[in-house]
Amino acid sequence: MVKEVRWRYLIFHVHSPLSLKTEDLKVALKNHLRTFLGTYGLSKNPFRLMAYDEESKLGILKCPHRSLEVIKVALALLSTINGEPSAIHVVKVSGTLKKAKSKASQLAEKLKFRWNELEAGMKKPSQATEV
Amino acid sequence: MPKRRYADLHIKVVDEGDPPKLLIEMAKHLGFSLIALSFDDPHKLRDFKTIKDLGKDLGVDIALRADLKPSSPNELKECLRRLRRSVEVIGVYCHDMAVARTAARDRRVDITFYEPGNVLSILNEGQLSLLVESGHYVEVNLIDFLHKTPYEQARALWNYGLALKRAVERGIPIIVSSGASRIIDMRAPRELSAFVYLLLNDKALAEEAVSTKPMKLVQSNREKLSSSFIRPGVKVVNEW
Repeated sequence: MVKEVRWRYLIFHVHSPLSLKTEDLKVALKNHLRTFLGTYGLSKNPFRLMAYDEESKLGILKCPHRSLEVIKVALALLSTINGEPSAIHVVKVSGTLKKAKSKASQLAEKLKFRWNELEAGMKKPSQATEV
Repeated sequence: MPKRRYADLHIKVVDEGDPPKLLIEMAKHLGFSLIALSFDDPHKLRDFKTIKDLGKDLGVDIALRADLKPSSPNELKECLRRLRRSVEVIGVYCHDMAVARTAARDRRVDITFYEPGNVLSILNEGQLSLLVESGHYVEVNLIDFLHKTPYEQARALWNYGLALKRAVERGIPIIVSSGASRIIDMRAPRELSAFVYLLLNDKALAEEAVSTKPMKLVQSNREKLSSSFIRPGVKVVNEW
């Protein structure tokens, strides 16, 4: 039998100077997606934050496969969290939560190293011309 | 099947933004194989060779882009005359009708981009006809949709959605770029393509807008800039 709804699990990475708690992120995501999609849009494109690791800033978001592109755009258009410039990047999309979790743990170490390096160089106007 | 390569043709190097090294590293991290950097200050171009080498080390191809924001058609022509042989991509910010019309007619222009507020009025039937003839690309910059109020964002999405549909109906190639000057405003290729998909509802076009179309543009311009180029389809293969 064909499933009525096929779920997708988006592994995302939060790029923000803030160290966000899971609850803060949940509220920020809810507010942003409600603003972006509206009540009706949210009913058509539901989502749920399944997991978030505050240390690696990696999280898993569940949404129907038909809503994947809309949710991706909504996340891409998020530019501030709690007033601080931030971004959410979708790193990977998986069909099962189990696979998403295993992939997220693999990515955690790799991303942590890269992002620490990148974030260290951010927002330094004096370096703008440096190579 | 070969792996798809992605390009972001609009990354700005400005004083208030992040340094070029960081922008290139971020582009690499996000999965771009080609980026075009535009500089606000011509003096920074002295470092371009070093930047290009750095990109080579990281595996990111760097192209040089000039963003023109002329106040009049004459100024645009003057800039094109000066820059065409030295940069790989020329983009014109069409903020008024006269500049937009001149940019659409001129074959030295590669890309035209618009302000979300007036894209519908400028990208009208007349402009589209000229763009069809000249074969220019229309660019959407994601930065125009970031750091905006929900109302401004909605209006920009509506305006760009309609304008791009008109352009696609006429066969005008669309490309999508981040338009970012800070790494926090850069987005991954899949996110950029999802954005175009949201506007046009066409997955193939959305994928092309961030991969094959910008790649093709840079490739053909590099060919034109090479010393062996004579005219489209004709080049020097051997000298004796």
